[in-house]
Amino acid sequence: MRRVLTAAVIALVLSSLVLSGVAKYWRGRGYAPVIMDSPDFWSIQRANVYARDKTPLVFLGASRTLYAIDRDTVISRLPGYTPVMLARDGEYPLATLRDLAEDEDFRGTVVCDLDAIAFSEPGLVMQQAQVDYFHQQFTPSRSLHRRLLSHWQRWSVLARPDFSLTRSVLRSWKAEPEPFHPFQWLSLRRYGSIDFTVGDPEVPKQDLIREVESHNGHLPRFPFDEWWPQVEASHAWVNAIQARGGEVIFYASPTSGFRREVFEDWAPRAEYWDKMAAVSPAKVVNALDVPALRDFPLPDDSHVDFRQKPAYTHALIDALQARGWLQTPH
Amino acid sequence: MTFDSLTFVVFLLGLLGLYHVPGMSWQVRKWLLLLASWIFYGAWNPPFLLLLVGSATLDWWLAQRMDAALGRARRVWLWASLISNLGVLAFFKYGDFLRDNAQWLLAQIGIDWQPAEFDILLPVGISFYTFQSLSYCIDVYRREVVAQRSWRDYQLFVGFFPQLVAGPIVRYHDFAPQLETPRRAGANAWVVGISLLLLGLMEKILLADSVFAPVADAVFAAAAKPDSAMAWAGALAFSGQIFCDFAGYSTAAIGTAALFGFWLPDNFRSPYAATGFSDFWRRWHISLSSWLRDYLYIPLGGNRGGRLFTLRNLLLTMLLGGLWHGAAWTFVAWGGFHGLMLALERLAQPLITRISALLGGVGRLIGGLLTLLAVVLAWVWFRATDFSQAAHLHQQMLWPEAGELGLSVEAKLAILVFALLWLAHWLSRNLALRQWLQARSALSLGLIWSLLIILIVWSPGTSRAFIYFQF
Repeated sequence: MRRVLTAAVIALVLSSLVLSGVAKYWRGRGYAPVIMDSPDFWSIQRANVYARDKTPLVFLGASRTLYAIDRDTVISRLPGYTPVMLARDGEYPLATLRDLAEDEDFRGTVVCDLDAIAFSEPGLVMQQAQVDYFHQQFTPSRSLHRRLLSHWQRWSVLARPDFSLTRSVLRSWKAEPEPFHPFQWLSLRRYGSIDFTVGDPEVPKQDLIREVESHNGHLPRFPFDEWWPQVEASHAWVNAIQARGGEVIFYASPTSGFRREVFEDWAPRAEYWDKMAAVSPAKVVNALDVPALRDFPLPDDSHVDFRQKPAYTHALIDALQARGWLQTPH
Repeated sequence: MTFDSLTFVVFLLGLLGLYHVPGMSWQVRKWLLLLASWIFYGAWNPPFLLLLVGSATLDWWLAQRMDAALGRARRVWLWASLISNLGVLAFFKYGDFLRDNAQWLLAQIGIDWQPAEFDILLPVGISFYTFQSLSYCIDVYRREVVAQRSWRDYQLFVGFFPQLVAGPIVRYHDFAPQLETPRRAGANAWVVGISLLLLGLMEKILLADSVFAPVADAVFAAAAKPDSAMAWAGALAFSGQIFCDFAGYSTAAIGTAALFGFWLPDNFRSPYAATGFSDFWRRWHISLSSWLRDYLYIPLGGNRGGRLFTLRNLLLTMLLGGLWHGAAWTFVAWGGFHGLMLALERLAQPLITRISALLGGVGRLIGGLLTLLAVVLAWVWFRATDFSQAAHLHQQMLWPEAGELGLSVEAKLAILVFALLWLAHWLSRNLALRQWLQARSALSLGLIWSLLIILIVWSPGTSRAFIYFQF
């Protein structure tokens, strides 16, 4: 057994030295560990929507909610709620809303951040793969694995796939530059943050300008007749959650500058959003109608800088409480 | 639970700590292993644990009845076992396949049949544990082994977690003696166990998932229309992936079992160094090929009924072996191709022997490369989503269209690593890995282990399910 123990000590010391050296190299290049999203990471939160002692408060949406909500602010302002972050970067949330509606055990409040385009047919299925993953592949074993992995990602830069041996070899072979410095990250509870002092807010703005120019100045509108059926379909999901004592709030988060103009041209509020709001059984609010949110600083016209997250979250909770849609602590 | 998860690291360390607590009786240790095996399996899908325990209990009971019976009654009990085992397999694994093909056949004669959608979830490892349990019942019927009286020991034979979900398919006569005498991992077992576990994980995490899978996935994607060079790259990448994925699992399984003092049979022995198809099947998925030989090929008549019958038996065995892998005609085609190659090799054996004697080592190398070429071509059928994709890739590989050929850097890396993998197989074609490991010094082992740990930890990325879990 002495041979085994000696070999084990040699292996642990040597591998630790080499791996620490690699990690130190990347840290020396200015890279820090980041927690990355994954289907398992989302699923861990999806499994948390059943709190009984407090009301589950589920945030649905895309990046604007994922990177804007400050969990500590929610907990301090809304002690009667247990917040759960289910927004997903780049994906409209209606597939998840439908899933919660079909889940007989869910009785919470949903703050569903979406715009009119979310009701298009592509918007309807964007998070479906994630929902399917949760129901068909997520297991207790995957849950524990991901929890441990999150800690490893938070602790070591080596957990980032960009720094893997294979990617490093490929990058060197292709003479590619070093990986980008991440300006967005997630917390262990899957709340996102964006640091606009690292990420350039002009990049997404320019991307949008190019996108619009490629369509001769106007993004193509969705035909109303093809859009409306999804609005009607959502009524049943909202009703199902309300029938169990829950609530659904449709909330259009703010945009600014050119992005706001483009969106108004793409899906004019009066023709889409307001028509949906007029008939939806959900509570509906548009940030454009809330001064504190309408004029909130958005460096890239779409997202909140992480330093502004508490202020944004306060403004959102203020707006929802003012309408009587969230409980106010006594 | 999968070997390449952090959950397994926690599970294994905890279980090893408990298992090796001094003073614990062998009976308690076996209960501990059984409980751990159930947790391992149930962590994936708890309801299917009932199927595993239920089907193993049924076989345990049937085998005892069979053992006690005489004459015709034995055959009845055997049939009961065959029907229950193959029935469960047919329902879960081939239900959709049988329904779709029945629907197609009826449509050919003008009958429009619209069956209900089954939407059946395949219990992981069902093909492996069903075959393992089935072989036990047949062995009891043949009076080659005595029926196991202990329910717990039989459950442990079927459900022992290292080999439960993707093999090796263990024979009862190999495993039963290990259940009789207390098992503790000695120094050699630790050396082999740690080495093989790390080697298997490295093969899976670094080679299969990180180097080979991205290239294979890109070439075999539904919308991909690869040119000749990329078709070859994709076929080679998948050849590397399937080996590193499956052999990686088997190697890790053998290593894990060794840490508890159990020895599982080898499942792979440098298969890409095979010189001929019969040699390939003595090196690839050995526990399945020997199972098929003993429980299908020989009962069909083996090579006892003349040349034509031998060829028929070979072909039938390989067709069914192909179908064992998955409920799709592409798997049948893959098995059929191997059956055909085995048949041709048997027919040409006198000629092959003469040429080999003439060319010596060079002949062996040429034979090895020709075998590898055919095996790689066959993998295209195994991986392709349908016949048209397989045909397109074969066309590109064998009759390339004129035009500019391009290989991505990822593809070049995959080809390079596959070449190194082949070289490693060729150089170690006669190596007894376990004995080789046991003869290493502490320093050598330390260096090998540290290299493997570095390669594993330095390969974060998308975790892919083990390919053979779906079989």
